[in-house]
Amino acid sequence: MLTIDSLRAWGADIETGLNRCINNEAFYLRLVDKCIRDEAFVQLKASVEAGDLARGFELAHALKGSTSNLALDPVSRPVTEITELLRSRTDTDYSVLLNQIMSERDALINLL
Amino acid sequence: MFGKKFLLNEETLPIVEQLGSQMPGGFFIYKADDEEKLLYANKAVIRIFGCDDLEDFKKLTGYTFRGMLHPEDYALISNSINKQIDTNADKIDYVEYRIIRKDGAVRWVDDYGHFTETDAYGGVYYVFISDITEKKAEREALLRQQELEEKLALQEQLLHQQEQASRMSQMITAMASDYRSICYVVLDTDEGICYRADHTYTNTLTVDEHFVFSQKFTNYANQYVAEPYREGFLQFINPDTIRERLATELMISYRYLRVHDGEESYEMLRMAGVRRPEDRGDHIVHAVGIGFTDIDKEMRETMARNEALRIALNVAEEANKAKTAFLSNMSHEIRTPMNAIIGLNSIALNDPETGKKTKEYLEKIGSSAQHLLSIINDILDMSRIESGRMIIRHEEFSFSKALAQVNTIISGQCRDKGLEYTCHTAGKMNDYYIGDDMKLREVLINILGNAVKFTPAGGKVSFDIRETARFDRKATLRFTISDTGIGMSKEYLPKLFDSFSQEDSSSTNRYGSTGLGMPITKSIVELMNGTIDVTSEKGRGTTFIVTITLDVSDRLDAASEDGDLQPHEMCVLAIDDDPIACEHARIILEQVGIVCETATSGPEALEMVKMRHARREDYNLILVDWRMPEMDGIETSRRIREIIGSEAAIIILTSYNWDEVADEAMAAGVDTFVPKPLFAANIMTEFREAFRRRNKALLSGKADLAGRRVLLAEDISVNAEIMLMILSARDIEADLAENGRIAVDLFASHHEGYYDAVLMDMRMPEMDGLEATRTIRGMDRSDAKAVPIIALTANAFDEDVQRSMQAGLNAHLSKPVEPETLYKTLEDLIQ
Repeated sequence: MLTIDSLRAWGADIETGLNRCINNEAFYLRLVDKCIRDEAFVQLKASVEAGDLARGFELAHALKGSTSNLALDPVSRPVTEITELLRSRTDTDYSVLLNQIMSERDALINLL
Repeated sequence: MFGKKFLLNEETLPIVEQLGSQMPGGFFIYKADDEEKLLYANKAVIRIFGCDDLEDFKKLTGYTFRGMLHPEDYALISNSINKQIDTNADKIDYVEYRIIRKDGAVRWVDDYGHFTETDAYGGVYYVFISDITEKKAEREALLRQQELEEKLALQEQLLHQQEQASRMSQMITAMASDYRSICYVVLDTDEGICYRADHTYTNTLTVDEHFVFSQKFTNYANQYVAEPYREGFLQFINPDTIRERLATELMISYRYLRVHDGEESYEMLRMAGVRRPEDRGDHIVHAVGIGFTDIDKEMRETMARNEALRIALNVAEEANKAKTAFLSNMSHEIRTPMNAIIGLNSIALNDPETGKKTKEYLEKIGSSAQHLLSIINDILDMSRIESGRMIIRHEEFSFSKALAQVNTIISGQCRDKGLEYTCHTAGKMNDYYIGDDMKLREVLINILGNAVKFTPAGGKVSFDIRETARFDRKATLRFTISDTGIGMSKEYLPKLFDSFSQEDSSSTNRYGSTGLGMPITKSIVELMNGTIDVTSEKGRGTTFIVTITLDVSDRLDAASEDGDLQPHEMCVLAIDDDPIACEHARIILEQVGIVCETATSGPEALEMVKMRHARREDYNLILVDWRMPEMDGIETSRRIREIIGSEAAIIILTSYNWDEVADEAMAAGVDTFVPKPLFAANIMTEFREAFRRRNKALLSGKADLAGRRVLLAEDISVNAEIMLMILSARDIEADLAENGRIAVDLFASHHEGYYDAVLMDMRMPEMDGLEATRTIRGMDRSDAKAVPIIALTANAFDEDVQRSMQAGLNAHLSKPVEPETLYKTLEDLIQ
């Protein structure tokens, strides 16, 4: 069961996130739930691993938008980082960032 | 006559006869019966009747009383005697009558009679008579003489009265000689008569002419009264108007221009009630005297005088303007180099390479420069007061905060100088009053500053505040400022408030004064309808009492609208074509912890403002130099306002006197003026003042968001949902488009003006935000150019912002979007 407290314990900036949702907890939690289940996470990993950096950027950018908006900081931080790398199509080892993203996302799924 | 004891009878009659014969005057006795037969008549009676003897007398008169009297007199005399005897206790009568002597002469006699009853003869009359013909004639002559004299006197009196009346009339005529014609008009019957007419001067009236008032005067108006005066003239001669005005005025008049044969001259028509209304029973004027006067000379003289006065006034006004301009220019001429001195001085002081000794010199230069500047500011203030340009504001302010600001400054000065400072408030006071707190503070700081200045170390300065009266939502506050300083002599006190006066001119330098502080203080207090009193004793100290009446405000909360203004939250843009001034502003602002960016021209500043605005990170304060080449401060302010709307406070910094342009500047969106150069000490006060004004302005002119319709283009559903949620919280309806293409289609498919704004995500599949914006802006419909389009993006690089502005976006919000920022942006952009 996803709760404000469990999200806070996980590291979300609850105050900021709630504030964006005009302090409507149910609405916020529903959006977080939706965000966590987003297929984009898996698709991002797949695309980048497949070397499709352009597609990866699109996906990372979208994830950056939603996770930042909900103030899911532990996951939005690496997502933002990878977005910028992908924007410039930087040829680098993305696995560290991808793993970080996926593990934080998994931690979130466990909260469900 | 012989007493009651004397009894007249046959025996006593001879005694009477004996007595009578000896009497020089006439004496006779007759019976008071119908026959009136004489019982006795003495010789004198016979002599009076011109008879020779008794027989002769008896023949003439029949020896009866009736026979003695002139027949014409008998009835009247007999009647008179009876009446006198009846009403007289002593039974005495006196009559005068005529007799006819034997020789036929008619003579007058007087007759003293006494009636008495006798046993022998019944009622008898004893009568004494004497001939009074001559005496009577004399008497009558005298009477006639008297009568004549009286008549003469009366005549004389009449003559005198006539003379007086004629003199009065002449005098009135003389007094009224300036009336060229005079008439008498009965208002009730509309009839008039002319008493005087000047034949050299035609006004259609002739002496003794009877006329119909309304007709005659209306004709006159139409014929002779110049057109601009005609309506007034006709109104003036309206009987109702006349009656109404004369009920309260003794005399009424109307001046007009008369045109006759093309010649113009001023004339006056005057009217007065012939009897004043209060002297009449009905209190209404029924008849009036009307006079025409030629006032051409006076009028033309007056007009010439007025013209001369007007010219003199113009000259004086010009001179005054010239003086103000001179003062204004002078102060600028001095202040411009002063700005450079103070600016460079502070830069040099902040230079780490400046040595200790040089720093000391620089500090002295700095304080001298500031003193010089304060003199110039005072002179400018004084000229502003003198020309009536100093305005006292009427705004709500926090009293405790105003006092706190005063106390901060003064307690600091006292601490530095080693003085004891106390501030007490006594009695109940409101948290807020309505008035001009800046001016009030200036007054208090001025007086307290003087107290500090003129009190040697170890002395005391006290400040007491008390509300002394309250009435009608007004409160009178008394501020008492006492010190134990050097004091002033009684002789000097009256001169205290004169410009440039100081008791000991040698002390000017020691105490560093301009000599204008007190006159300015007094003028400000007077402008606030307050009073200022001072008592002082040389060597003992001085006490000032300022009394000011302010309006009461019921506001209680101590939290202030400007209390939250914290230096570290501020972002300031300073615009000045002089790089030194920019640098100076930056240093000063950094001293109080404010981040400051600078621009050296209007256009450069506009670019910076545009960029910040697009990101919704507006500067909250913009300092603009007034005089700049290319684009001056007011124009720059106007353009800045076009970009940022009511956001941010704009302060014009100037060394000029800004009174002339104050209105234009305010209209351009400037909030306040601050004299150059900036000083760290008062900078926050000035800024708060500017913000306070700005906040007031913000209360008006905001769009109500409820019921507005927004088109939201956003491809990420979480973000879209949040946006929709935020929008619905303010009752804003929103249509969601998942990409740019859909957004364009939705916009195109609805009628003009359907959407109040578009929120455009930049990065979207199919068609991105820039493309969608360009497409919408390119549509051929009235709202295509006008509808606000707000970019939503995570990228807030300047280049992106610039690109989006070029595409026609109005604003650029960084994601994630804060609800309040979004509302504010919509409020500002939606018309």
